[in-house]
Amino acid sequence: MRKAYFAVLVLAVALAGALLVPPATSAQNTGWHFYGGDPGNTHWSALNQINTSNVQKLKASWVLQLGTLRSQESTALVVGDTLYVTSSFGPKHVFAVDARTGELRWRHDREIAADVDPYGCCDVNNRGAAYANGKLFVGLLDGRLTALDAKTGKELWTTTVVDYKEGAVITSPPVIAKKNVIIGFGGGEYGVRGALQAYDQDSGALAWRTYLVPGPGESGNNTWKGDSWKTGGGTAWALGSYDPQLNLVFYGTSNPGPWNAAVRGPDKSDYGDFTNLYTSSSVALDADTGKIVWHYQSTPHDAWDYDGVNELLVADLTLQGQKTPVVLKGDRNGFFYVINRQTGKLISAKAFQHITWASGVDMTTGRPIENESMRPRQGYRAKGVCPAAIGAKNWMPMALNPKTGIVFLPTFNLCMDMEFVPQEYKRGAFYLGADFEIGTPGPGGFLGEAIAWDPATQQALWRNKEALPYVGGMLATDGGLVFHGNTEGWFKALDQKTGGLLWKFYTGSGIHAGPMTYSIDGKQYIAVVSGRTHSIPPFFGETGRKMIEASAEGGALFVFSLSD
Amino acid sequence: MTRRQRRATRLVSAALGLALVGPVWSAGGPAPLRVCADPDNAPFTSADSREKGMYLELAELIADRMGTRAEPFFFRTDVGRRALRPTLLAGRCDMFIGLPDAADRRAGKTIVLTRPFLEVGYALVAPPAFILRGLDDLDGKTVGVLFASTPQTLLSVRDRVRLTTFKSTEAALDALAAGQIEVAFLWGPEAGYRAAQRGLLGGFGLTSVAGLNLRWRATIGVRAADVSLRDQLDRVLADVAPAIARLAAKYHFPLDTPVDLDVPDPTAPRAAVAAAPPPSKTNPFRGDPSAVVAGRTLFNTHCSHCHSPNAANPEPRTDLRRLANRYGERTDEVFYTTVTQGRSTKGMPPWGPALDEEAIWKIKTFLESVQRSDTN
Repeated sequence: MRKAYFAVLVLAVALAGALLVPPATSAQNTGWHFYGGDPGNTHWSALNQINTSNVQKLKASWVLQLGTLRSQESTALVVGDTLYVTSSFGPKHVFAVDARTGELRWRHDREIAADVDPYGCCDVNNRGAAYANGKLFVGLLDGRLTALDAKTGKELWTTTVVDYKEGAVITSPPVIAKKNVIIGFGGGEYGVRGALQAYDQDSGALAWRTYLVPGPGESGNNTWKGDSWKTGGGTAWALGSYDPQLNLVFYGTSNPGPWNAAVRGPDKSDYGDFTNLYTSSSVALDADTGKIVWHYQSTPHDAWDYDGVNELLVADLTLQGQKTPVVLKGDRNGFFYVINRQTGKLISAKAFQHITWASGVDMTTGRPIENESMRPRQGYRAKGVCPAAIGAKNWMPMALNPKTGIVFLPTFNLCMDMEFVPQEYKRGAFYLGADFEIGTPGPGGFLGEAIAWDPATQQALWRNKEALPYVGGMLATDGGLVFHGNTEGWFKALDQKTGGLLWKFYTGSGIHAGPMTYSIDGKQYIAVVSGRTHSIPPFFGETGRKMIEASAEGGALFVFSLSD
Repeated sequence: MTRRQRRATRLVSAALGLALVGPVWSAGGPAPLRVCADPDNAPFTSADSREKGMYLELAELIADRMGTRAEPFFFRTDVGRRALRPTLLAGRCDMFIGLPDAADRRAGKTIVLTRPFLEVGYALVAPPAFILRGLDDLDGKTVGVLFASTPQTLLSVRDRVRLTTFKSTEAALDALAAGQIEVAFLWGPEAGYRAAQRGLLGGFGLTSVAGLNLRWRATIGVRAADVSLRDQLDRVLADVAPAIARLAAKYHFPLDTPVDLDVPDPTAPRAAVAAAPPPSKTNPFRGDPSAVVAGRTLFNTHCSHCHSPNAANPEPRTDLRRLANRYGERTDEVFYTTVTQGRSTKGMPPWGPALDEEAIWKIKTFLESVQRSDTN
């Protein structure tokens, strides 16, 4: 039964893959054209030269200094025999190097607005570039989008997406969909009204803009109290996905602003219609028009900062004998969602990590069944709320093996006590910067966990505890391996079936970014950037101190291959 | 401090590894007093040398009294959690002006606080005809608030108030001037400063308010290791109190007596309560030794963070050992009224709800045991 299921799935993926993914493979070379390996963000590679039987022989081939410290979150691209990678600081540098040796082909040094640092909630990070038709597209921290000539690194055009002084920064690469390049921005904490914007790849002209918080007269505006929709958040700061067949772009949206839910609706679990659309949601947009085709809201009337921004992984699963087009999401709120990506219908939702804020999801309404005592309110401190505001999973990408249908997730095991802070700090007002702890260890004492999860049965296959939070993003390969890093700076290869550690390499600084793989002249390489987060530990008090002590800041791309 | 003491302090500092970050005030020389300051946070601090801001001018005043000069270390503080670590705690400046007062005179484990030097809080900006007695007076009004501010929180649960949310004080004041809103409920010092800049203070008035999370007493924070600097600042602050009031006025901080929004009955305005003669009271425990002991404990729990442990207060203004000297036979009455109703313009909160009559008189009995007659 299990075998039959796999066979059907493989066929389905092979068929879908042929249509979905532009050719990344030539006779000799297999590239990595998208942040997530493919437009569906599977973080999967069919390469298997490096596999469970020989991974012990994996050695560092070369290292590229990224020229910055702090929060390296980039996943490299390989197109042809050129590897492209961005550094942190907005990015300060975009590199194009020989993918065999790391030798520099060009370097684009970017001037980012010098005063942008304070406007980002969570550091001067950059998660990488997008590639299409000889161009590299890079979102800049200071609210701009730029197109570079992939051959020379010369700037082709730059456009302002959003005013960063509104507290809106860009940290993630855009989505490529036909002639459009589609990008969002962050800033849910600062009263920004979230939007996704599409630009013409050649000219940089705005093709469409879709606000992720509906305005007056638009459907969903009545889910907001008063004029709170104006500053409602719902930003799309993480990675989008694309299904070329359906021509749909999928994005997760951030928490609503402000954190204090009473501003946006009733200050209670019985919030009625005040769900605050389309915050903490998954949305599907028509790639040509930007029209929202469907939405599913995982955390209605959010009061916990349970951003719904995490990536929607495009997969075709066989569910109850039916090949089903789905998107998968490991949500900040701790539930793993399987959603039909054609219709937006919720198929299943189960907790993948210890949670206390809800006991489950009502499959009729799609709403979480809240534990009322866990909803922070004005003058009410909710204690032992799990997950913490950082979520059970954050931006660090998960990976899918489409042959087995198994997903590998980097997760957090943190809880918090929370009530609405009386006054969020703003310049001009009074300083009330109390160092409140938002990350206390969840049960078991471990702070992070790598999990293998079966979306079909919504159960874990294995769990690897990690001492510290911020477990790195995942890469799954057809060599039976899953690769990920951790905050201590170890880069690991695990057996997909058991989670057993097969190989590890010490990079000296925390690894959070997702690894990638490619093959040149018949030789497979694995690459990951190392460079611990800088801004996150101060949010975490004692836990943050451990993160800082675990490794120094850094900034380097490590590339591995089998020793001869 | 003698030269030998200075040298000893220097040696200790070096031994503690503090020499590089420099607790400069103890080094004896003319090393500057480094002030953590946001370059763009008028009216508090600004890199604009023409109008440095209330707190930077205060720092200069303090430095002058300490025989040195103030040197700002500018650092943008948009994100509150990142305002202290890279500045004060990293040793790049020695004092952070404008931290909220705390009972234990600490901010976390790492920062100690001076005594409060100023009260700051929210204020309503409205035409002079608008009289505020309580929150109910805002019912039916279009009220401008800032995103994620206490007034937004406070009014969000009052369905009869029409809230309009802004992202800057300037935008709210412009909307007020244009008649788009009837009242703006803003951070007082900034509202006063920006309203003055816009020439709005003629057509609009500011009314300060008090209540939970609406009004704070501002202190100066220094690193916990630099407690001697804190003590020095406390002495200087007491000396420059009149100059502080002048500075606050120069920057148009509202200095009116705040209207307490926690008044439960809006039909009994605060002014009327204050005008009513307080019941004449006398201390029933006078001379009772056990009340002295109990009173000392109560005093040290509730009063000592402003009035010093055991009332041994070096600052004359708040030295309760001078009560009898100052008020003579009215002492009991003044004491009781002040404790129960507070004196908000002077930073004294009302303790009526927190302390019962017995506790109040036990504290008074303790204070009677430490009264002194000298006037120096």
